[in-house]
This record gives sequence, C-alpha cells and structure tokens, in this order.
Amino acid sequence: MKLFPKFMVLTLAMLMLLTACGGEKTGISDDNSISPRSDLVIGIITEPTALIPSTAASDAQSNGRIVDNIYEGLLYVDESGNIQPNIAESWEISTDGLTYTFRLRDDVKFHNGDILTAEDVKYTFDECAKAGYSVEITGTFAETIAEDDTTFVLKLTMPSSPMLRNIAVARGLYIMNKAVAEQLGDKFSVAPVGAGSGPYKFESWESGQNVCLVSNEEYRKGAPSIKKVVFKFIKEASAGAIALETGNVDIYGDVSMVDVPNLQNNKDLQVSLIQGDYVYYLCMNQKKDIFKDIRVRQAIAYSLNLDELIMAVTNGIGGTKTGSLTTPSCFGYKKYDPVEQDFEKAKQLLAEAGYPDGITIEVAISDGSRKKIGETMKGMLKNAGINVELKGFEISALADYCTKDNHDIVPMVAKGYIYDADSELTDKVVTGTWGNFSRISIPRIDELMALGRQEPDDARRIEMYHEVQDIVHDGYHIIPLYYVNNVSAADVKLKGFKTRPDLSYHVWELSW
Amino acid sequence: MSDKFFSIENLSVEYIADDEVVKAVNGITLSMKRGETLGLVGETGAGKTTSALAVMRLLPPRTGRVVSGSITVGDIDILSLSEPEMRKLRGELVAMIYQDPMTSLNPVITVGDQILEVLELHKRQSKAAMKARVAELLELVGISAERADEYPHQFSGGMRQRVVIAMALACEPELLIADEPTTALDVTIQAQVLQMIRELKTKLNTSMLLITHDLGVVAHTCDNVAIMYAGEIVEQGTVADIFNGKRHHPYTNGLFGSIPRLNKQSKRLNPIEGMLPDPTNLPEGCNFSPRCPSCMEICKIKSPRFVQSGTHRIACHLYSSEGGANA
Amino acid sequence: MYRYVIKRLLLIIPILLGVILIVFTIMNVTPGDPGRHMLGMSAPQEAVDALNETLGYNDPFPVRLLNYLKNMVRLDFGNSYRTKQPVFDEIINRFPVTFKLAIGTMILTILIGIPLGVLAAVRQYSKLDMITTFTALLLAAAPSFWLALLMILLFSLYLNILPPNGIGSFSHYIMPMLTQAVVYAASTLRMTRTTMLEAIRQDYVRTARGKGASEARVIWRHAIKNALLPVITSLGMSFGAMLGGTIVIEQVFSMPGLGSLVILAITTKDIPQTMAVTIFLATLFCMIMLVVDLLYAFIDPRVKTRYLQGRLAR
Repeated sequence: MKLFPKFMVLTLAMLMLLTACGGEKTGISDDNSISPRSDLVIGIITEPTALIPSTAASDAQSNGRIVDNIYEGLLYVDESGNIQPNIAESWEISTDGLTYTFRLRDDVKFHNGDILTAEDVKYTFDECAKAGYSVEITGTFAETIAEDDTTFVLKLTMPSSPMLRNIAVARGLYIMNKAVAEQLGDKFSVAPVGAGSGPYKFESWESGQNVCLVSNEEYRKGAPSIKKVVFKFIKEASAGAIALETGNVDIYGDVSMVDVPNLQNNKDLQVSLIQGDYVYYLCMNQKKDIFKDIRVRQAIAYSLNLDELIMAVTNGIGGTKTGSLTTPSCFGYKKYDPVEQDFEKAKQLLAEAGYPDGITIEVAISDGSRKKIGETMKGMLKNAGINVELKGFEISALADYCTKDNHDIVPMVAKGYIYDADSELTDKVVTGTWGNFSRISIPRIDELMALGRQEPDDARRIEMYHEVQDIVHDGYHIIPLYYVNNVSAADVKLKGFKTRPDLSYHVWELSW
Repeated sequence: MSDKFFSIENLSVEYIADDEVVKAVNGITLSMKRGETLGLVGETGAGKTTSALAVMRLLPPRTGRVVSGSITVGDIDILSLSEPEMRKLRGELVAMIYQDPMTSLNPVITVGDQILEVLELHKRQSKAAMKARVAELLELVGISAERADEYPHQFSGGMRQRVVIAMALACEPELLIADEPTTALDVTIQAQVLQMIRELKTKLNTSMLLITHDLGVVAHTCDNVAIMYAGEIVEQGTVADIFNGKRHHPYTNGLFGSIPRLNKQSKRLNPIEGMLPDPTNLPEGCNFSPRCPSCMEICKIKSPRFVQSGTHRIACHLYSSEGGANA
Repeated sequence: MYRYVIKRLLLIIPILLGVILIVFTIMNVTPGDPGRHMLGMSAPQEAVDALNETLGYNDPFPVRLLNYLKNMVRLDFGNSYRTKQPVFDEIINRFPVTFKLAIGTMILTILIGIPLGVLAAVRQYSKLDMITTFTALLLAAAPSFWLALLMILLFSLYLNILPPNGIGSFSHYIMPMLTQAVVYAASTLRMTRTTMLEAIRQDYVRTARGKGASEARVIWRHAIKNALLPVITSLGMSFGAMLGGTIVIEQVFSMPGLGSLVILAITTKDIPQTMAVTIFLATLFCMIMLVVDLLYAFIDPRVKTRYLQGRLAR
C-alpha cells in the first residue's frame, strides 16, 4: 500500500521535529568548566499538603523537608544531640518547672524584611496548639505571653522535663511571621511568601510539579552555597531512581530498597544508608482475653525470626533488628536483644496457656510495610501453630478500626525524632493514650512516666525509663521488630550530602 | 462467426471454499451479434451470475477461478488482459447492472458523485462538462437532475436501480450485462425499468446479456435465449424457438409448466420435482437425470451433447442418436 | 435539530445528579475521615475530631448531602480539605496537562491505529496482518505502568533523548502519549480491521470495481468512509476515557494532571475536591458524547437526514 509508508514516515518526521523543538535539557548535568553549580534539584515522593510548620509535624516526608529550610525554631539540636540557642539566645526555667522564659535575638529578620519579635513566637505557639498538631507537646501549654519584643514566656500546666528538647525539635514550633500569616489568610499554607526566617525563601509552588526555594542572601548565619533548590515531586520510587541516574534530579530522597543495589553500583552516585529513628513494633490488644496471658504474647515473640522478616519486608537492607522500643540516640535508651526464634518453645508456651492446638489471630494491616510484615508473619507463625488472618484497610480506616479496639494485632511504627524517652514511650505504654494500641494498663508504668516527666535530675529520669522498659520487655507487652533504615541517594559530586534519621535535608550545608 | 460481437467459448468457473471445489459453470458456449439481447435463464444457483461476473472479471479474487475457456468482446480476449487493462474496460466497454439496488450503491456518497465517478474514470473532462453529463443521464433514466446531490437512502428501490442503470450507461458501453435487474422490484416498477432499458438499448445499439429467471421478461425483451441448468447450457435458440418450438429440453418444459396461470383453474402449482444437484458432487451423466420425467438409462451414464436444428440447440438424449431418436 | 441539542444538554443534569449522589455516598460511607488523614496516625483522637468538626465532617450524612447540593446550585463547590483553596482553582490549573495528553494520545491513536487497521484488512491473512494484529494484542494487554517504565529506561536512561518526568516542554509529553496511545491504537486497529473487512465485502464495492475503479480507489474512497463510521464513535468515547484515565501515566511520569489530582483527593479523603473533579469529568464526558453524536450526523448522511427531519428528537 503506497499510502501507508508515507503516513508513518510523516508521523515519525513530525515527532522528531517536535522533539527537537523541545529545548529543555533532558537531564545530564551541564558540563560547567569553571564555576560550580549553584542550583539543586531534590526529588521527593509525595507532594506537600501545606507549607506551614504546624502541618510539618505530622508529615516529615514532604511538608517537613521543605519547611526545615524556610523556617527556624527558638532552639535547635546539634550533631551531638545537645540543645543549642537559635532564635532564642538564652532561656530560664523556673524552679517549679512551670515557666519558661526565652530571651530572643533582636537581629532575626523574616524574608520580607520584618524583624522577628516575641509576638511572632506567641502567634506560632498559639496557632500550633489551636491546629491540633503536635498535641503531645502543646497539650501542656497553659499560657503564652509576649512580654516585650525580645522576651517570650511560656507557662505550662505541669512540669515537663523533656519540654525544652521538644521545643528544640518540634517542627510545629518553627516561628512564622504573624503579619504575613494574617495578611495571607488561607493562601498562607500554599504560598508563604516572606513568612520564614531561615536560609531559604519560598519562591513558588507549581501544583503537582515542584516547590522552588531561593537562598536568603541576608541570612544572619551567612548566605548558603546553593542558591536555588527545587523540590520535584516524583511519585514513583523507580521513576525517581531513574531520574537520579539520568541526572534529572540531584538527590532522590525516597529510593526504594529494591533500587539500592543498582544505585550503589553507579559510580556517578553516592548512596547514604543509615539507621533511622523509626521503630516498627507489634501491638497485641490486651483488651482481648487471649492476649492477657503473657505466655501467648511470648509465644508470638518466639515465633518470629527478625532477620528473615527484615529481609522479606525491606530487601535486607532496610532495617536493623532490635529488642528495644527506643532508639540508641534517644535519651533513656536501653538495649535489649530480641529473642531467638524457637518454634518448639512457642508451641509449648501456647499449650501451657491452654491452647495445645494453636490459636487463630488476626493481624490488621494497611498498604506498604505493614502489609509485608503481616504477610511474612503469616508464614512464620504457622510453624508455631498460630494461624494468622490478615485484614487490610486503608490508613484512616485502620486508625478507626484500632481506635475502637477491634484489632488483635497491629504492626505500628513510631517516630522517635524528639529523642526523649518521654515522648517515645508515653504514647505506647501509658494507660489510655491514643497510641497505646497494646492497651497496656500497668499502674507502675503510668506512675513512672508521670514522675519522669517532671523529674529534673537526668540520672534519675534515666533510671525510671529503664524500669519502664524492663517492665514492658519482661512482660512481652510489645514486641519490637526493627529500626527502619533510611536511604537516599545523590549525585556523587554533591558535598555534604547525607541521609538524616528524620529524613530532612539541610540544604544550607550542601554545595557542589 | 465473424459478425459475433460477444462470445463465450467453453467457459468453466470454479469456487474454492476450504477443501471443497464448487463447479459453478461447466463448459458453456454463448454468442451474440451486435445490438442483440441474449437472455440467460435458469433457477437461482444455476451459474448465471457467476458467468456474468466472469465476463467482468469480478469473481472474488481468492476463491473464484476461471478454469478454462475464453471470453471475447469485440476482438478483445477478455481473459488474457492484465488487471489494469481490464479496469479500463469495466464501465466503458462492458458495464453491469446488479441484482439488488438496495445494496449496490455506496450509502455515504451522493448519487450524482457515484455516476460522476464512472466519467472520471473513463471519460475525464472538465468538472462542469461531467456534471452536465450526469444531469443528462439522470434525466434519461427519469430522475430529476436536481436530485444529484441526494444520497441513495433518499431514493426508493426502483429509483436506485435507475441510478445504477444511469451509471452503467454513462460511458455508452458496447456490452451491457443486466443481472436480474428487476427481480428486487415490484411488478409495476419492473415494467417501467424494463421499458427504459429497452429504449436505451435501441437508442445506443448496445448489446445486452440479460440474466433472469422470469420467462415473461425474456419474451418481451430478448432476441435469443439460453437456458442454464447446474452450470451448463441445456437449450439455446431464438425466442421463437424457445417459446413456440415443438421440441424442448425436459427442464424447459418443466419451467414453462411451472408458471402459474391465471386463466386456468388449478388446485396446485406444478413445480419440477427434486432440487438442483450439489455443485460439489454433480451426478454421473446428465445433470438433470435425477429429476427428469423422461430419464433413460443412457442419461445416467453419458452426458448428452447438443443436437442442433437450425438456430435451436438442445442437449438431451431424447433427441440424440445415442438416445435412440431419429434426427 | 437545535431542539435535540438542547434536550441532550438538559439530560446532563439528571446524569450529574446521579453521579454526585453515588460518589458522595461512597466517599462518606467508606471508613476513614479527612481529619485523620491530615493529622497522621499518631495524632490523638480529640485533635482529629476537632479538625473534622471544623471541616463540617461530623454532621449526619443527609445534612451534608443537602448542604452540598444547596451550595452547588449557587456554583459554590467548596474548598479542598487539603489545601483550603477553592476546588476549581486546582482543576483549572491541571486541566491543560490532561487535555494536552489526551489530544496527543488521540492523534497518535488515529495515526497509528487506522492506517494499520486498513492495511491489515486489505492484506488479510498475510504476514503483515498477522504481525500487526499480534503486536496490537500484546501491547494492549501489557500493563501501561510497565510499558511506561520500560520507555523511561529506554529513552531517558539508555538513549537519553527524552526527559523522564515533568511537563516542561513538548518532549515531556511524548512518552506519556505513546504509552497511552498504544492501548487505544491497538483497539482502534482491530476495530478498523473488522469494519474494513466488512466494508470490502459489500455490494457497493463490487459496483465500484465494476466501474473500473482501482483497488486503491475502492479502499480509500469507498470502503473507508463506511468502515470509519463506527470507529469514529468508538474514538469519541475513547477520548472521554483518555481525559479521565490518565492516572497511571500521570503517576509514573510525575505529570500534574487531573488523574493525579483525583487520586490525591480520594486517598486523602478530600471530599470537596473529589466531588469537584468527578463532576467536572462527568460533565465533560457528556458533552463529548453529544459532540460525537452530532459528528456522526455530519459524516453519515443517513443519520443526518433523520436528524434534520427531527425524527430522532423523539
């Protein structure tokens, strides 16, 4: 057919022509001979919902990473874990532990030129409490007062030893420009121009595509080396890995474990794999009779092989097994070794508990790691005579289900970014807290946790938290599984790049 | 022989379907002088349309095959032409009118354009000249020229057939093949269309091969007649020979006998007993023998050859020496 | 004829109401709530409840439905739970991406599917026919996700001639369009082949040949016009599908279109946003179908006559 080839040739020619007109570089880094690059493209897997500090508390992966570069807090935690002054240059805590007085610097400027005052700090603290984020911190706020431009007073309802650390770490308490926030109203969360005081200014947010930040040349700690950073949304981990390899992005923050070996072999890339702050653990609902017996809980612990679990769920490199609920960098951490798998012992324990023929339990899961954990457990526990049924939900339905105590077992993950046993344990073991899906209710634990919060002496605090963890460990109330490893990869030429446990990127520390 | 304008010599056509071979036409011989009308009569399935398509070389390409024989129009050997050469003839030297007017026209092209197409293909002139000719043709077949921009579905069956006739005659062909042109029309229209064909034929001195199963049409329109049965010609002659002759092939008798008569009382129709033979499995000897009321022993063994008497030819043992008849 | 158009436009309203009812019900009846989505798993229940209250999520279902409908009549579709901005802002922003993708896909589908389909029909049972039909089936059965990743590997990584994601320039659209077009082209090819095969067997084709028309003329002038009629309707419907079905493509290629918007809205239980996108797409689809029907009238004279005579506007 004479016409047909003509068609195809025409089409191909058209497409090629249009490709040529495309223009945009396909991604290979420009060969710059003399001056190093001053821009950076970071690929992330989810698009933020809002660029204000309060929402960043619940969403480190997207909101948090961007917000970290735009705003600053009163204090910060350095590499060694010590609290350092930032916007606040000094502080005092009253002897009864209820009043915190912060003296602020007078030279902190917001991106729009406004000088930061205590009014802005008060506004930030109030808004955070109002919005409902970070309630574990703001729940104890009684009053906030801006005494004068450089003095901010925070009053609590009860003493709280970890409060200073909380304030230093909580993203929700990054200081926002009150004037800008009030002026922009609803638009503030999507275009916070001039609202922060950090090393980078918000420039634009192209919905579905990227967020652009530019450097704050007047940053009081010095202008950063990277002048422009683009956070690009690449919703598929594999597509992200490819984007890294083609140079389309300089950093990809959410590589899938499956892609890691491939990226590690690529000489143009550097891969940073670290042990993170997230702990995966199993909650067994003790409101259900079957889990009230310690032997049943023990049996489940003995049925697990954590190395195999980690291999199955994270391809082997994604986790480090553990017997502790707290992370090593956490204040009050105690090390425990996980139990070795022993099916015979498990069966024996079950028989002693009155279940010689084994039991049937349900594991509630949602998509992602939980699902894989559940599926792996199903296979493993079978060998101990425990029949596992999986019940899948989407995330908010799961929360609903567990809140209503309908679950048997649910794998949970907790963020330990505050690095204090108070926050890492409270929500898991104290009676009645929302995150206590194991429904543990032990008076001694509650007592110790309450005391620990108010105890001013560090050594005594540590003792208390160790005791709490001992009770939990010896009673098999919660079975810790593994620490999630975080991994991200970048162009090998990027200096200062590393993965952080809280997933953040300190772009101001990076350079080419 | 030399004044024969159109002739078919010993033509055989087969269809190949999967593993079966259908012998549709088995060695027929026909001829016509210029300006004459030859009627080709027979039941459905006798091979009439196949023969017509063979002349036009419009047999389905993969399944239909001319096995042997020759076809001559004027002094052109049709079967030896290349396809491009044949295409030049179709519509210009030889044209065909088809059986079913409802489906013979393209529903999405105007009738005017469809007639125009024939002119475009053979007698290219200026657009205006061709359009004028189209108007002329429409008027010729009794359709208002203003309707040239209408589509086939806007015409009745009879009018559509007239359009087909206009298309066929557009280039004034020397041979017109009309395949049961009025079968799909009702009786009143039939008469009109036939009348028109006759008039045009006379005017243009076109030779016509008229295929029909209707003896009445034959009587009115044809000069010569050939009767076809199971792919073969069983009787041939002038109209007078066939209609008034004393001797006939038993099949012909059957045909005449089966026509219902309005002026006679009869309780039943007189069909010919039996059915057409299976073309993939024709009987030994004479094809008609299983149904023939005058069947003889020899009929079942040997195929009869033509017995000629003047312009009248009959292929039947009744009249052949082998069958024991005197000449 | 105009009466018919008006009638069809008015028919859109009950259709939309039905769509709204169904989607709204599903979104509200399925477990999970926007508050939990926004605050995360570790937030305490009271905070979640408070947020839900501000969003108006705690009212009983019929009340919410009624409120929604009331607001809809005033053309107020509410604000996205997620971004707090008016829902249609986001839709208007993202629509061009999806639209460009759909148009490009449509063009490719036509350019690839129809000629190949005609060819396969004309050369039925030939090697070409077998190969094209087989390849078409294969590509149509392949998951577009997989196809997309393969393409990115080939064109971005190994050949380095196309960008792997984003929407900056025309070249960003090429792979997404191809990935989508492959599926639709395959079905168009098969359909065209079938209708062509049928058309070629029609009497009017024999008539055309009888007039001395060449094979090429028979195919391109006579057969195709008839063969394409059902194909055009099918393509019209596909266009509607293309507009709403770009989800996977948008995810893999990181394109900010309506597909990724609707996924985002659904998974974060952003009810106003989900409703708005659904309504938008449903309306669009109805309009497209109307245009396709009218188009059909223009290209098929048999249908056109009926329309003009008003017989279809029963």
